[in-house]
Amino acid sequence: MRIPYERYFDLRAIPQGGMAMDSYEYLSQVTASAVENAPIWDAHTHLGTDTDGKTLNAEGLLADLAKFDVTGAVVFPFNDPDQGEDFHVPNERIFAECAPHADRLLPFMRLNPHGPWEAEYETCLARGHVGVKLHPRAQEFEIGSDLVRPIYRRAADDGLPVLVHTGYGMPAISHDVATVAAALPHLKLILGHASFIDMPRALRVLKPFPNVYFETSVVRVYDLFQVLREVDPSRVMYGSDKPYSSSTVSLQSMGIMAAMAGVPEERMPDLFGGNLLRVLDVTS
Amino acid sequence: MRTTVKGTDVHDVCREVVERGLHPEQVDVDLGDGRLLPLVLDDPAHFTLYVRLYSRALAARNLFLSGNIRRTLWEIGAALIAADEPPCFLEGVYLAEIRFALANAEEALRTGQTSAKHHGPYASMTIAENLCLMRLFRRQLHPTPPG
Repeated sequence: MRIPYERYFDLRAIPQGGMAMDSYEYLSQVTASAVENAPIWDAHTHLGTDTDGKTLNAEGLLADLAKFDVTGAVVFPFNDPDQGEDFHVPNERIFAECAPHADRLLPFMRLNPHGPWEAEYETCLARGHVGVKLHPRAQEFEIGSDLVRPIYRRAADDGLPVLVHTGYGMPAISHDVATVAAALPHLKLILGHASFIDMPRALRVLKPFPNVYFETSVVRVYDLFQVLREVDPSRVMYGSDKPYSSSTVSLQSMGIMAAMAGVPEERMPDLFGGNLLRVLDVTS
Repeated sequence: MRTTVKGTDVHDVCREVVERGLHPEQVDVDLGDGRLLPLVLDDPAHFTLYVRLYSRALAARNLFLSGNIRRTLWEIGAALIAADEPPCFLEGVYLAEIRFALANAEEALRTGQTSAKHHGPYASMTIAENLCLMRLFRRQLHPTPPG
């Protein structure tokens, strides 16, 4: 009779003797094909300072990325105490921090739809920010409101992806997201934290919209499992939410749950960075 | 009939179990220091261990969000106690990871990250929940085939 070893352990997920679980060696063991054969890109990291006291600078971020051989990351400001009305200061700061590492750190602009966002958008676009980050809870707006739609429209017209927070503290958003995605089929809309407040309905409601992507940072593994089972792997993106989470945990969860959910090995590189690079039109 | 395998390296022991075609539930591990541990837990014990830890981490996160830091620390402390003594050889690896996430949350709270606006403790407790759930998923999603 066949012995179901997979119920008990996966040899790939048990660290070999002396191997630390927060090491690249362990990560490589867990996600062998993905991390060794294709670049990893992180779709969700922060630089600067948050109102909650968390900080991260480029040096710290690059050290974390290097530890796990992550090629690069999308970077945007925290909910910075110096945000003012338009995030001008933190946007400028993170761009300057990313500039010496332009091939690895890709800055998004953070905008506040309540403020004079148009001028800041133009400034950031001209400077070279490659996407937009929106946070409906922190900046207190509804995801599908008329207030924010001009930002979506402008980003879509310019080919910039928009990463919008759909995690902690958000109400159910899938119908609003569907309305936005239907109205702007050329918008590349990345759902930060994969809309976990609205699972599993979000998967059903948003399935018809190929321009909606699910970013997986700090998502509970039952939601991650369902995303990986039900959403085409071309629409799922690895993210960590650094510095709140680490590359270790985020990459391990993605690798282990993708294997359990039956994502074919040849699709793993899409999850770990391929999809993000395609959305950004970046050749790694 | 149980089989005893000698070793302290989890990966090596598990590989030997696979190579010898042994059933994990019928293996004990001799650690060479007088301890003999079952390689794995049976289903009820495995479920009990991880549901206990998961519920502690979940309760801690919810108490944190409600602002009750004293009770949050109490739940984390209880989870750390429950994760302290590995009841079998294999789970020692995963319990160490869970303890690390819980200790991160505890440290953050003790250093003043106590408001619901602080995302760090929330993330650490979510990570602890996820580590428990991944162990439950592994056992639950691969049921023994009939016969």
